[in-house]
Amino acid sequence: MCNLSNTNSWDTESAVLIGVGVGAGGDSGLDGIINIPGVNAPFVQDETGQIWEDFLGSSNAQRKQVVLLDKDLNHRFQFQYDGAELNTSELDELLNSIQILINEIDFILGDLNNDQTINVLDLIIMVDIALDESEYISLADMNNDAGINILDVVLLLIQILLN
Amino acid sequence: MIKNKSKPYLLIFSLLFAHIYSLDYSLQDVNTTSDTYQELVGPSFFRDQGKSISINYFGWEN
Repeated sequence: MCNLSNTNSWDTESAVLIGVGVGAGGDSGLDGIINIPGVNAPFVQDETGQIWEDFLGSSNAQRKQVVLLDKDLNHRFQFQYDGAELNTSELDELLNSIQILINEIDFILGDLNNDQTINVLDLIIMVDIALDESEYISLADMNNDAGINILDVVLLLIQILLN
Repeated sequence: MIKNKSKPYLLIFSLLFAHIYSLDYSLQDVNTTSDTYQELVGPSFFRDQGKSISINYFGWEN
């Protein structure tokens, strides 16, 4: 048995649970896995349905969905739950995904020598990685397409120039 | 030839996509037992407080 709340087993200093209801309703809890009396998660009401549209693709999307945003507010993981509660494997999958995003907080995308800045040194490493097709490092995957290639090199170059 | 011409556009699109495709909202917290009750909250609100990751649960109101 598991219901989600901000007292759950993720690092609550780094990740926060927010309930998003659609339409105008009462100020009671949301149906589903965070509907616990006294739960401390903030709830908001998406009266226009625009947030559901933006996050889920439709204001009529199925409820009981979870969308994880990373530190850059990018949509990274999405889950659909059917039961009244999360089972163990669903919870494990969700917590693992949250931890992946938490682990990324201390890392700068493209900072391949881990010196907390991105510069030409990272670019050199990136080129090496791009040439060695067998190697994959998520910090080098600038466009998040599960591969390291010339696009990632150019994106890093632009990022360095912008900085 | 066509491929070579399309590469700059692909690159620009990828760059724009990476920077523009971020999601956010700011709505009033209606949970009376939440620490942020009646405040305008959302992913960027909590990110500014150090909670960088948001777990957005989509459900229906009772």
